[in-house]
Amino acid sequence: MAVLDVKNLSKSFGGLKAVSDVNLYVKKGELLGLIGPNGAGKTTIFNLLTGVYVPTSGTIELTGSRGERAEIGGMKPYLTARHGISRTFQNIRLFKNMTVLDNILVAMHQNARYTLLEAIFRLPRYYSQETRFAETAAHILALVGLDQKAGELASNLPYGEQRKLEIARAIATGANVIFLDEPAAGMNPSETDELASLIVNLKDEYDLTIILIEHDMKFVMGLCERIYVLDFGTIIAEGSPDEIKHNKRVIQAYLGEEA
Amino acid sequence: MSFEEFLQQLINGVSIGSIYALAALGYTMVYGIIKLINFAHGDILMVGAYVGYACIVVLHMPFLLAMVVAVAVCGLLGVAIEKVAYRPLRHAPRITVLITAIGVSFLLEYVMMALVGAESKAYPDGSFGNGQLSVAGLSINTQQLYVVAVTIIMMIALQYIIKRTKIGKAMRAVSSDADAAQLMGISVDKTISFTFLLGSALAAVAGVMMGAMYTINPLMGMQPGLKAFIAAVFGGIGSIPGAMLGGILLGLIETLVTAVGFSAYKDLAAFVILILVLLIRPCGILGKNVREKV
Repeated sequence: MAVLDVKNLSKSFGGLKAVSDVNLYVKKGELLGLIGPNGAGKTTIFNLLTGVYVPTSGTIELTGSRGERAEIGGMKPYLTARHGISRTFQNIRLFKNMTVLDNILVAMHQNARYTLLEAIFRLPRYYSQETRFAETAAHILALVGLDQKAGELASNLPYGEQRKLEIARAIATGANVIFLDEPAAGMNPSETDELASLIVNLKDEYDLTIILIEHDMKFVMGLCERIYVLDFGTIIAEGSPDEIKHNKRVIQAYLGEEA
Repeated sequence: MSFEEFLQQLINGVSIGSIYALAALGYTMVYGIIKLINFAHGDILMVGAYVGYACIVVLHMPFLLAMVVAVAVCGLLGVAIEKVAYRPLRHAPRITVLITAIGVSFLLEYVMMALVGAESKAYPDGSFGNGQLSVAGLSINTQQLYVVAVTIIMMIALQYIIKRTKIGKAMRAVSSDADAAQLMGISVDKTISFTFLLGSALAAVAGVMMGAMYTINPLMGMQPGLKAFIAAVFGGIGSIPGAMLGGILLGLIETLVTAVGFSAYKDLAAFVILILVLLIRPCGILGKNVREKV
């Protein structure tokens, strides 16, 4: 079953066609890779799918966890988030002045169902929800190995842990479709391996569908079940890691005509 | 100056400083979230003072109820100003919004003048308690005591909302990175509206108390507005504890300058402080020196 169904998606910036006529689908529970040379339009596609950009044309259909369908193309980002879509960023964008725990809680709070007055007067609904949030947050942090650092400011974490916190924050929104924009960027090989197994664990634990952009080919080929290759804003190949490795057009796109 | 006099001045300073602090919080919160110096903020304080006056004189409400009404009216006014004047300029250059804020300020001042006239009015005597309390040789005006008490309550409530509630966390998240916050399901527009609501409500509290202690006129917001702005910069604009501290310190400095006989120069002292702070510590006492994102 397709969670996301993208049809004829295009995005132009003035005269520049950053993404043109892209068709793709994402199956529920899939770990999908999106690769391509620099400037191919990968992040633009992420921005279109999460509502940061409004598509010039085309449709993006999301199927929710209870089978309900919604057109999310051009929807405001905070609303796509409430439809169960979340993401991380190529350049980390945590709430730097907040603690690790608060970064998680602020993401979870969008599901909170108490009012400001209930919070101020500490009514039972506030307490029960806050307790549940605290437990869930502790669980997520433990999974990414940050439970000991819950009270630290996000800006004080080392780089690799900031990346993990960003993933944890995306999951904390309650999303079931997560976009990871270059999660392994700037990591050394052992950190990358650790990240790969973390992503698999989180996917199983929270029943996630994950779409990721990555330049580290070993990482992508080892982790993803299916891969789309993007070049100059169009999809030039789709298939399993093995098929992609041997695809002529992909090799040309990466290495040039002579290869 | 005897020790008693000094203590007396200290109390005066803390009470006027509390008013500056309440108003400074509005500046600093709005700046923290949309990087705008909301020059209309002092005039919201003025509107609060007039709403309080109308409630007490025309509708014969008790003081506290009048304050609650003023808070509600000003809260909504703040939200409305943001929606009509600032939101359409969300992606405009900062200077455009700043000029708009100055325009809104004039609009509020002169619409009020057209409505109620330019002459000063005074709250009825004793509406805000006007007793004298003698403690250890000091005579404390009960008004001053109330001002400080109300301010402390407001600050505790504000800290609680910002640190502990979901809307407070959303405010901090939006001020840290609005785009990322949006992708975590936070409605940036609603969060900004709420910030204006809170800031304007605090200004109304300050306005009603000022109105009761001094006189009110349509231009009364300019001076405390500027002072609160100085207090916010002094404490570190964008920092909430900074605004509280800046306000109290500014009140103290002004009062002490007056006490040693330079009352004509107390405004000068305030602006000299502003200049010194900008020269020595541009980010204020508690402000963080944040590099611009590029």
